[in-house]
Amino acid sequence: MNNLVEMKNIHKSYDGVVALKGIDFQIGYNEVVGVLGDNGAGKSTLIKIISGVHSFDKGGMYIKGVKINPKKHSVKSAHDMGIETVYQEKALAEKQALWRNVFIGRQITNKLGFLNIKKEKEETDKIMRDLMKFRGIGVGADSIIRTLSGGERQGVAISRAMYFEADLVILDEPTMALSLQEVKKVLNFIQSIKEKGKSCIYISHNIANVYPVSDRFVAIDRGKIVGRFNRKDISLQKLSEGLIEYTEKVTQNKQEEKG
Amino acid sequence: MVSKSQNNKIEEDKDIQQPNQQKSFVYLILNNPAFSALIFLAIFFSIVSDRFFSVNNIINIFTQVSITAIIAFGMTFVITSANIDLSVGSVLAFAGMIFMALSVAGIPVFFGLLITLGIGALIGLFDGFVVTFFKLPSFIATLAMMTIARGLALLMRGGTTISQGVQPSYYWFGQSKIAGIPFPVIALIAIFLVMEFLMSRTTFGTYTRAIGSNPEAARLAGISNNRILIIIFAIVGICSAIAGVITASRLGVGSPVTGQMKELDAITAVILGGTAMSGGVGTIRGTFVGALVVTILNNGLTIMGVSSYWQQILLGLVLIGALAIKKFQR
Repeated sequence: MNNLVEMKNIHKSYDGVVALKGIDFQIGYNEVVGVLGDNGAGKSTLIKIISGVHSFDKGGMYIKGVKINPKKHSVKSAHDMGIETVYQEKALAEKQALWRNVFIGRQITNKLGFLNIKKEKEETDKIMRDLMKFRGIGVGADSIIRTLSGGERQGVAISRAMYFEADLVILDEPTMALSLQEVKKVLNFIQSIKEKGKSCIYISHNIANVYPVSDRFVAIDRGKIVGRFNRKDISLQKLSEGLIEYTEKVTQNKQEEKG
Repeated sequence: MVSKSQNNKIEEDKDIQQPNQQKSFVYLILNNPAFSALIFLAIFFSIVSDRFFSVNNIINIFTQVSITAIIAFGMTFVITSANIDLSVGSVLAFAGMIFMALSVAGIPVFFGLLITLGIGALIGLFDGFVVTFFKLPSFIATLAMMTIARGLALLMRGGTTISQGVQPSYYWFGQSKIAGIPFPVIALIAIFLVMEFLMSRTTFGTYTRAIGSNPEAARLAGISNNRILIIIFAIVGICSAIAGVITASRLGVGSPVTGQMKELDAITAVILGGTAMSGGVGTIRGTFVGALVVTILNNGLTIMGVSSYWQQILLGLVLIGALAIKKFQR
């Protein structure tokens, strides 16, 4: 199997609400896949299954060729397999210092299980110097997240993923609420993931952002994959026109059903 | 002004200043409004009453503070996780009754203590279970436990106390002294050190704050919020039981009406100590100072001859005042 993640006929529902109805999804090594779709299409559910936050009800998932047991897959086991996720906006504990956020869920501890605060702060400083390139802007390991701008927060979340050396970085709407300049930084980051030979799943509403950095696109609608495209074969204009056309057709069908 | 140039490395490295690095212990204490209040009250009561600033009264204050502070330490975890526990006073009374009943039943004191603390933990586990699995607000869940535990305490002897046939060894936790220091004070210091460590130096403390700050982010980071919350409620249950043991042991009586309004003292101490009602921020040392303020206020006013009715009114005003000051600081 040559795919980093392979999902076959994945089904998932919460409390009777069906979120995914048989998804087949693959991402290869050193590939950037853009996932497109409206709110509630199932994009977030899809990536939360990969990142171990949710389990799935039916179907099969393989990560690096290893079959995943949905009952045993967790955020921790996803981390261990080199999958890091950057969630939209609210992925950081806002009242906490930066260094606590970097190591949340996997603190550096000594043999007795006590926090090694000094080491965590040192590593955070290193991350900020080498990865975030936060220099001379008054942001330090002790800075409280609440005091940072949206772009800085996203920078923290992304650098955290880089620090833990992910093979697959999943970005869930990373450019929401960011300024144009900050969006550009995020796109540069995705490019650097690709250059380092790693993979990335990039979820966004904004086709214009996804298009230039992705190798492939997958469009999701109401729990199903409704379109797969290669960037080589389709221009940005055709892609967006196609998606708009699709949406219009769906709305029309719905109205007809009701009528 | 910081330049955005990327070439001047030396200048940039110099600029990686950590604005909060001077956060020493002294700095934290001085920045804590409760500490200022503490000093103010100590000076005030020393001036108006010559009995306040005596060795005896200071030992007395520390003995009195032990019960409030031990509960408030547990409460600090609860409030930092953006929850609340209103049942602590009732659990104190119930635990005291259990402890004394076990004594009368002839159980050796060591097992009596273990069983009592175990029951405190069970009550906390139950609260935590209700809050996490039935998704009830902790305010309601522990309000229910407040009346349940009080009811159980009253039920045990039909509303009366347990004082006959108590083994003398059971008085040890309230009445003994080691090197002149009352045992409750020693217990207070020991529990303070453990809780301070737990809050600031362990992953458990980090998770507590993360859950209070942003439960969704905590969950996405792979933290089992429910497990942590259940442990937090178990801790506050144990703390209340310890307070119950000390209270009953000091009085030499198991009384079902002790610990009334103790939740108010504990919550006030926690809030005065700088813990955010909305969760995410909290320190044990701050709570310790807050508990001292609450106790000194009561102690000083009692020495001055102010009635306990007025003390209740003042304590309520202090709680509102502390929260109002925080709003202004934003």
